[in-house]
Amino acid sequence: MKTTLIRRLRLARVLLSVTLAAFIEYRAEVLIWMIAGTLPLIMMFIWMGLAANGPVGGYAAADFAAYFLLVFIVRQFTVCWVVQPLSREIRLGEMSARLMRPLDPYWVHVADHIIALVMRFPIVPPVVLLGLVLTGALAKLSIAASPLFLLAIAGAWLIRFNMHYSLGLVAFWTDQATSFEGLLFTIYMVFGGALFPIDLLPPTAQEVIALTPFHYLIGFPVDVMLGKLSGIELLRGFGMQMLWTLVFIGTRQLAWRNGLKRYSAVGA
Amino acid sequence: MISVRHLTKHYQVHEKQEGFLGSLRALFHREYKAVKAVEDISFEIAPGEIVGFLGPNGAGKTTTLKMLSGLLHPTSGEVTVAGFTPKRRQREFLTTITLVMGQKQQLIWDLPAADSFLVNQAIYDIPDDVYRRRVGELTEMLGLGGLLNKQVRKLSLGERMKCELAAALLHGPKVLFLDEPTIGLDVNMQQAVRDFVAGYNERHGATVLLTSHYMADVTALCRRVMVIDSGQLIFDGDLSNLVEQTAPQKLLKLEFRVPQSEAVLRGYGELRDRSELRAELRVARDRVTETAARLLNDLPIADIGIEEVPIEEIIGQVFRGRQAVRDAAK
Repeated sequence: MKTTLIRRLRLARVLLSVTLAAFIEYRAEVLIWMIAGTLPLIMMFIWMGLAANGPVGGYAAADFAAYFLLVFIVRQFTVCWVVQPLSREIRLGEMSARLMRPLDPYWVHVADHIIALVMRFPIVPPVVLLGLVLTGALAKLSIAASPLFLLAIAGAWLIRFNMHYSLGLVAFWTDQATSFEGLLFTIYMVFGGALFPIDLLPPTAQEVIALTPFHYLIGFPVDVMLGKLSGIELLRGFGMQMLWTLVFIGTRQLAWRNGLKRYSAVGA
Repeated sequence: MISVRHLTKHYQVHEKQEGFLGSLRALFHREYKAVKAVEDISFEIAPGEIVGFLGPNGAGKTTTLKMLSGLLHPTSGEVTVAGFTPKRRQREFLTTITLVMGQKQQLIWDLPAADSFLVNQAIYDIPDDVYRRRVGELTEMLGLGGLLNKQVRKLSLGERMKCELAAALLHGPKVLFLDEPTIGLDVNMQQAVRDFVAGYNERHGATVLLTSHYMADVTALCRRVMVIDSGQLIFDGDLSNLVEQTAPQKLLKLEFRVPQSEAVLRGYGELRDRSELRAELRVARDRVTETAARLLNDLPIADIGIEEVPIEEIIGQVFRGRQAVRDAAK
């Protein structure tokens, strides 16, 4: 038991440090990916412009600034691109070499994504802090909620990664897994609240969206940090995060087990 | 060590006609074809054996290797490798075997191979002292000195293959599945890989099943060969038996002092190749000595050599023969 734990910790350390070394080879590209994630900042300027002559649905300009800067930070720390490489590995048989090792290829992708977060640490928080100060939105944040905010981001990451990994595994059945990704992204951006805050919508729409996993990927963590949620709402939110995490971990495992039976290991 | 009984693998392949219209049709009506990649094959391989797996492209060699290594689930039949059922992919099974595929890589492209080795050390949980010893041994046997700290993408194909081979053997597997391990390598490098496989087999008593397009790989390494065609095992036995069974002829290579006409030479055997002063004759095994004596007696011979028909030709002949039988059956 204890030796298994030590072995896993050592494996995690080696995998992460080697992945980091590989990422450093690509540091310029990492910067470009980060710039590619600035849509929330553009939305921020649009909504701040609209709110210049008075609040929109209860949001003043500084509220929009706080909201979208937090959306930016949540999106940056839940970044996920696993569908493309995973489905390519399956379709082209590149998975074969990885399958020969006694380690689920899942963990290699997890290591990739964790290192991508590490790479963002020196850049994203200072930029967001600067933005909050410049727009006078810093006061809108509930600093006491910071630990819960981190927890909510972790939950969002788990849901998003396992959701995307499951989608990538669809490549075992069809060559068109990646085309679903565009659809998923659109739903995620709208329902997640990356284009506008969900509470600008009618209450019924809000309730429906709160049942989907997408709300817990962006909107919920942002609301936590803005201090908008009561104790019972927090409990419900984290409960939903846990539920969706379990659903997608289960989906991934089911898809993995059944997909391997169909794997054709073409080419290799 | 390896036991295969009635192993069968059928694929469903989606067929599409070429061009835009074909794509459009495929959108509404998909046509599938069942491909019988492997059809009811059975064999046993003893510990420490090196077995060559021969057959034309698409014969089912690689499919069989993939089933033996657990990548593919068989349609039916039973496979056991070192006491494990491959498709269950247990940790103990995966640490016992390795699969080396010519073109496919597990090394991390942008880092030195040494980094990928470290990852494998952690994955296979190899103690530091064992790890150092193995890396040392592999470095020596494969001539890896200086390569391990160079970025993988900067290595030549041959250098990379050697590093791949080393990465695939770090965990000290007892069973090696080698799929075209020398493909794309130059002659020297092919020889180096061949020597290495033989040495590894000798030192570790490992069981080796290898496929290759290069007959030299097989003749150098394997006493036993299995020949597969269209998913069926058509020969399993000693390489020398295969030669005797399917090549009842030997090759007489002749050099003349004076040019000889075709008509004269045809009297002695099947004429394969002829130029002014040279000729190759195929002669039945049991008549080789007698024919050679006759030739020496009748013609102005400068040199004479008796050889086996090249194994490539024998295999080619076997396959062409089978194709003819199949065509006749249609």
